Amino acid sequence: MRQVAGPLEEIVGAENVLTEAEDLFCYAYDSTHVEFMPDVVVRPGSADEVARIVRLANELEVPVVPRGSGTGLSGGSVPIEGGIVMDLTRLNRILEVNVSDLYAVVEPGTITLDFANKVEAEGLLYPPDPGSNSASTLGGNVAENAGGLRGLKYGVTKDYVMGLEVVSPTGELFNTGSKTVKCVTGFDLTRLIVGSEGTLGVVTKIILKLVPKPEFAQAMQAIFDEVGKAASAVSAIIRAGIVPATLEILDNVTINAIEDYKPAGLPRDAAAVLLIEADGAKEAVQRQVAQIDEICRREGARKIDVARDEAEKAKVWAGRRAALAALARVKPTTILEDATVPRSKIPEMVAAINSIAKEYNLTVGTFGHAGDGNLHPTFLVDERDKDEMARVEKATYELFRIGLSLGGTLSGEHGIGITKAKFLHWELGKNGVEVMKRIKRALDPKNILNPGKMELGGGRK
Amino acid sequence: MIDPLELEELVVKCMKCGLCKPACPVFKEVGVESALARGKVRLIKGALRKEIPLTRALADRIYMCLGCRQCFTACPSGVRTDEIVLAARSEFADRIGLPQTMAALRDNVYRSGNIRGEEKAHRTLWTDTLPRETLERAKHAAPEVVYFAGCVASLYPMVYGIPQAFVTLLNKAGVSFQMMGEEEECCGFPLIAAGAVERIKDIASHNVMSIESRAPKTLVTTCPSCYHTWKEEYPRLIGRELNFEVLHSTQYLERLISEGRLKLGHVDMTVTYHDPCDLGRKSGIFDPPRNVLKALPGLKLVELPSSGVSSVCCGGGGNLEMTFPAVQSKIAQRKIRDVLSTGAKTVVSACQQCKRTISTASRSMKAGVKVLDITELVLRSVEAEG
Repeated sequence: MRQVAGPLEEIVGAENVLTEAEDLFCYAYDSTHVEFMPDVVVRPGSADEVARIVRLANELEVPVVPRGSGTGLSGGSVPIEGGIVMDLTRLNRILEVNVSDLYAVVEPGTITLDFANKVEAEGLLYPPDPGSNSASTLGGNVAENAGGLRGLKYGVTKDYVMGLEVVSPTGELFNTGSKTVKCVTGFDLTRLIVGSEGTLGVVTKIILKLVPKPEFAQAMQAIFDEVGKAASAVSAIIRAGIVPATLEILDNVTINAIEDYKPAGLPRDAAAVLLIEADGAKEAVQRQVAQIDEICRREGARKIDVARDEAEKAKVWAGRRAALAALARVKPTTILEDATVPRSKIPEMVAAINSIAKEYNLTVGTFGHAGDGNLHPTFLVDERDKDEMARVEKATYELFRIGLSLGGTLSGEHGIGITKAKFLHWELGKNGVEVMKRIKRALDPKNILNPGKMELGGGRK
Repeated sequence: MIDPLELEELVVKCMKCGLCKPACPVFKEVGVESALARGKVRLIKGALRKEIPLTRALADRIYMCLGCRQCFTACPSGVRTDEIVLAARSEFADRIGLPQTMAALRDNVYRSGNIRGEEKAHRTLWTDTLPRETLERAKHAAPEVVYFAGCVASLYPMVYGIPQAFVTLLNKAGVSFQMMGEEEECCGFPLIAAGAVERIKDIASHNVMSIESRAPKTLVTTCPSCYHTWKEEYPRLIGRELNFEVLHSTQYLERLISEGRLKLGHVDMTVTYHDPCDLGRKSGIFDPPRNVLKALPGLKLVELPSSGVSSVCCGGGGNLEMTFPAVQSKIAQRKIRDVLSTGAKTVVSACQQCKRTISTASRSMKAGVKVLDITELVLRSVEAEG
């Protein structure tokens, strides 16, 4: 790889090229359990450097894998064919926050939460809030089309990307979208690039939509003795025309893991807890909370607590925030999935998850975004137990099959990457995958950008 | 300190989520993944499992850690990277030896009983300017307190002011106390941080017996790292509780003030307080220093942007000063910027290493930030009272 490292050093300087095994080892992973070593890591400091690196990679026919913070949950930034990992975290400036036109321009290495805090200080809201937002980059969020807790009312990352500056797979810089609310000029290339996981271009600038911060928010929790009743309550709330900002579910395994780890006062015998937050104008929120309260009672909630102040609101969310950490403490390895179904199918999906876990003798805790049908069944395993790891692979296979049979999708917010690539044709069909492949070939004839992902060609070296 | 055998069970808990990223002061400056808690844990796991050869370069990277434990506060899986790093340093030292700087440090402690390898007699140089009556008082036969100054405060003239202020305060409060003088030896903390632990139990026993022979009620130290070692590590290392109380000077000063044994005068200043990692996050002592500061008439305390359990290491931890001085200096400079953001021109700490690190950064940046140890500030208040 010396023949790549030398020219890369000419582009970005020797201090921004890593070639030692100990460094490369630490760019072989993201937050999944798939790992492949890169041959070199490069850390560009400008869009022009990114373009020159991609052109060089085309000349030398070496793969380039863009990477943000490596917090992904589908292997999107793992260099399956080796080659160059392009770490974009040096491009981390917030270039503009425009409070009149409600947009911001950022570089891809900007940390999601830093950006969210900055716009909040201006009285605005950037809604996508993936669980890793304290570490994740906005570029990574765009590449994987990340979601978060507010998906139900506010949507996911793609709903906030107005435009992009992109380096094409052959190394030319181009722009998509605009800073205007309306823009129908040309193809919607913005939507093509968002969620393409670094296979169709390297994002070097992002125009993000902002919304006014809601003036008031109120949280509540409802406890159920049957998962089915909790799910019916979710459907009933939506049917009543109420769209809460957040509508989360915790199952019994998750509740007990939380109570073992950081007691949040959740009843250990409950089958499910719904955590709900409504936001907006104060009077509207108060009316909605009263309606939700009534619906949950009618649907059989055993107990409902509405937070009366900020402290009680914090208490409602403390349990949810601790969910993954609590589950992670049960066993060394967590396999976190994001299969998503139409929300009316949540009872069937939860039942299927539990029966799959039983069939394959696995422990699973399920929590997630009940309001948008995006559950996070989390298998609790030990990576050193080969038999258990083989069983969890079969279980996830079953999980995706059932999720799709219920009219759902493979991924609500984590992306396809490596871990779900082999299932892609189940959802898109042969023809759907072929269309994606044609687009990929047209833009990236040498398959330089992030090869081996999403069934687009290439694979393990 | 943990047993290397437990290492595998600890490293496997890391789910590589990366949430340590915003917490790690070293990563903030270095920017590459191997400097991050997640990267170091992955390297350690890789070397233990022979997925990657254990090279000098790999072992050296494990020294790029302050041991400040801030990653632990951000870690959803509760991974104790600071403990993992210490155990790995020791394990890797057994296999391929220590880095040169750490081997030199170890040899100094073994040869001279202090981190600088200086003659034992040098350990009392800081007392040369103290009044005779203070030194006489320090020879009390049945002392309430034995004062343990530690290597850094005893051997670096830049921070002599800390032990000098503390024993002056003991004197003014009428406390009967002893100092160990030339017999004081390194507590072993720097050796634990270096991964050179083969003689650590002997060092602990030697030090404990040396104090117990003086039969004090209380051992007080102005050094948070010595405090942590005496309080947390020694009972485990020698397999029993100590038969004297161990306090940090902030706790002891809080006690003297609450008992009315120190008369405090006006100090009209605005200061900010930097929580030393070994005192705050690692020993849970957040309130005593603040209570002391609040007791000083005229003093205004403004908190740093990150304080208490979220306090950011000044760069002085984990022997980084010796292994990666350039990184240490950048971390310290960030601390100066944090101090300036509070509007205070003086930062108070309760650690000689923090004082050295922050003062050096302030000087190199020409920032004009003054650094005072809390003992020095209390003495100023007592002297103002006259």
